[in-house]
Amino acid sequence: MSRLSGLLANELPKYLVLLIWLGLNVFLFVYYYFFYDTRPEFFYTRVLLGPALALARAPAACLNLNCMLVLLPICRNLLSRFRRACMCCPRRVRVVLDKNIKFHRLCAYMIVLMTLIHYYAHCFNVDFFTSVYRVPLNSRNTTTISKLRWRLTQIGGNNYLNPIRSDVWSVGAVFLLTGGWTGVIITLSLFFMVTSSVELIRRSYFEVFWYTHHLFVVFYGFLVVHGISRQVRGQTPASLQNHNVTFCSQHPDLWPNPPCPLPVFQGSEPMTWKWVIAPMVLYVIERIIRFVRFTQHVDILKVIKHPSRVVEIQMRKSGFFAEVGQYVFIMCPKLSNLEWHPFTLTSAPEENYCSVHIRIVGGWTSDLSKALGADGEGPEVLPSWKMPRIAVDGPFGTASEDVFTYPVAICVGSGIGVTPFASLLKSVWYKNLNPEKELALKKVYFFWICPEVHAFEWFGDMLAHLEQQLIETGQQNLIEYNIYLTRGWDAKQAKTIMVHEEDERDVITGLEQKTNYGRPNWDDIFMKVAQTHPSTHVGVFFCGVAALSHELHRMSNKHSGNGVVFHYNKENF
Amino acid sequence: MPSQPVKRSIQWGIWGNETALLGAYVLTIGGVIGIVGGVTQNFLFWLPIGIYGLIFGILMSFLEYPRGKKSKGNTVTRWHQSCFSSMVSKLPVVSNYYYRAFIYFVVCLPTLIIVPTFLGSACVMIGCGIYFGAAAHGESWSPVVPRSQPQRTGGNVSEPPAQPPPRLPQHTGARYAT
Repeated sequence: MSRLSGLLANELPKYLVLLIWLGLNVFLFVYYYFFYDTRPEFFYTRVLLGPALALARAPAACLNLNCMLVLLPICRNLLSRFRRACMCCPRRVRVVLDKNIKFHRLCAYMIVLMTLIHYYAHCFNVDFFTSVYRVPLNSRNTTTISKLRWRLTQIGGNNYLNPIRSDVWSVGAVFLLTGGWTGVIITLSLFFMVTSSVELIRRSYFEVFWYTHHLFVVFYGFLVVHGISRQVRGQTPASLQNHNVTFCSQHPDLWPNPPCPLPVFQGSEPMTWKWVIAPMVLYVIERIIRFVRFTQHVDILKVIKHPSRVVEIQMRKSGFFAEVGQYVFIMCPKLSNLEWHPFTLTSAPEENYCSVHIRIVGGWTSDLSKALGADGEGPEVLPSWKMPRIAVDGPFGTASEDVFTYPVAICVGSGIGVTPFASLLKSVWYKNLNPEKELALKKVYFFWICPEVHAFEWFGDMLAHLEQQLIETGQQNLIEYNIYLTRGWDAKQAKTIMVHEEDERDVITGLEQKTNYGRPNWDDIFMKVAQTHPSTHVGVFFCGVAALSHELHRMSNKHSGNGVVFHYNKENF
Repeated sequence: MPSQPVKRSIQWGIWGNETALLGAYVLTIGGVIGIVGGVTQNFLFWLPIGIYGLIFGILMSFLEYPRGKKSKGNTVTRWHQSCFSSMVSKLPVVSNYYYRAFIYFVVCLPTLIIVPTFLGSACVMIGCGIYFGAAAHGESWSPVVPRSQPQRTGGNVSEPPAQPPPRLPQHTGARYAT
């Protein structure tokens, strides 16, 4: 029973969205399949193309839907605004907005699948169109169907049915049809986008992914003109009136004399632009906002070098305000005009500057640290006129904004994933300084999981400072923090730790709270929290590696029950 | 004048591999479609080219499935690629990307004549272009050797603990006797 209430809180909205999306796709596929497979105006089209007509048009409808939806999760400003507008909505609804990239990928997979079905069905259609010209007509074995197909193909002028007007090679016919060559361009762009979006390429060679993904411009550009030649054709209503399809299809020799005047065909109106125009406009607005943000001036106040290759940049931008745990995109024109990289803000909203801690782990970050003068050996400071220009886009909303609405919060950060919590803990302290405003948040359990000693320093300093402040204001029970050192220790370290066992302060961090060794026992921790805070909603916030995320998600579901509900929130870009 | 950013080496062969593999999959399915259309509708050349596309699509997927070793850092291998990797590394001329690009290109040419296999071979040919660029960049394929355990150098850092950590278990109050 406890699992069910946990599951409901954490999983239901996500699965609901998934179900609705899947349902829409299935509905469109089935509806348009039967539309093209049964309606009388497509009778003669089906004579030429058989079931391949419906099999090509059904995925086309799904493609319309998914090409519309795939752009929306990437409009981060739109999502931020939506999230802010939804502050009155229950938390479980807003949690769904965290999964925007997953949804983008899901729509992309569906686009790939539907493109393949659409393409393979149209392979048949092209050959159906061209093979009419290859059937010998005057032999005794020519069937009624072949004669009928030939008659249909002969219809010329604007009333034609068969868009292939002469005997051509099938592959050549593809390039003769507007739908054909635009389709080739669209599919190849899609193919490029898919192959460069594989996780390995994204993580190892981000630029390849980033630049190639901009092929979506080509994709959408040719998508809206894909149907412009109206090559899917059906009989006009007027023609259906005066040409009895049931009789005349059996007697093609009578055409064009009454009772079988030549049927008249017209093309279907292109529909795709109606589906995708709004998201395209929204996305263009999104990029315009990014460009405007690019032109706004950012002052770099301070650059601080921390141990273990972490650089802190403190900056100020007029009119910029961020909530707790939000992130920004940073761009440095000196390095690259097109690359914007996401970083979590480590400053609290109450401070008069905003800061990010950047870990130097790739080409762009190393180049940035070099440009900021932070790669040298000594504590050299670049004069402000030598500082490179940077641009900041954001802030963008993430789950951490909600943390103050929970009475109890469990915050877990692994490695560099602790950065959003720097902002949070600082803000908690600032809010506590304000005696007028009563905080709903009464208790924070903070867990920092670190693989090795070195990663401590900058955050450790901040924690020590915070610890001091809390003791001074008598609030030392507000934040309970636990640091776990997971990777191991050498013999010398073990000895040092043992010797200092009884000291008041931890020998590694200098904090009163002692460091733990090994991995945390989450079952124990969650159980203890559930027992200490019965009948409360506990927010679980995590930022870090996926494996730990699954574990915490599982624990949240497992230990919810008997009034205690653990709401799981994952941070991601 | 903005200074040129330091050019990190991008290993194009990895992307070429993804492209060629996906192209091979599409070619294989195209081959199947060709066979189906050739048998049921007797479209011109669908059956022979369909069979050809199916066979070479499968061969190319086998060849492309094992990911090559990345020059820098850890290579994430594909699921169960080790058996493919050992087979492929025994073949001649697999490590040279020039040969790979050329052979794939020539193999794909016949499949361009029918529509179902056209897309798959167009994709593989793009992969050939990328491989050609990778070869010009001096890259080559080498098999990923499975990492021997344990990764840590002996001596300084200890293994994952076989004995209790240097802190008292939190439940007991016993004093640690030095």
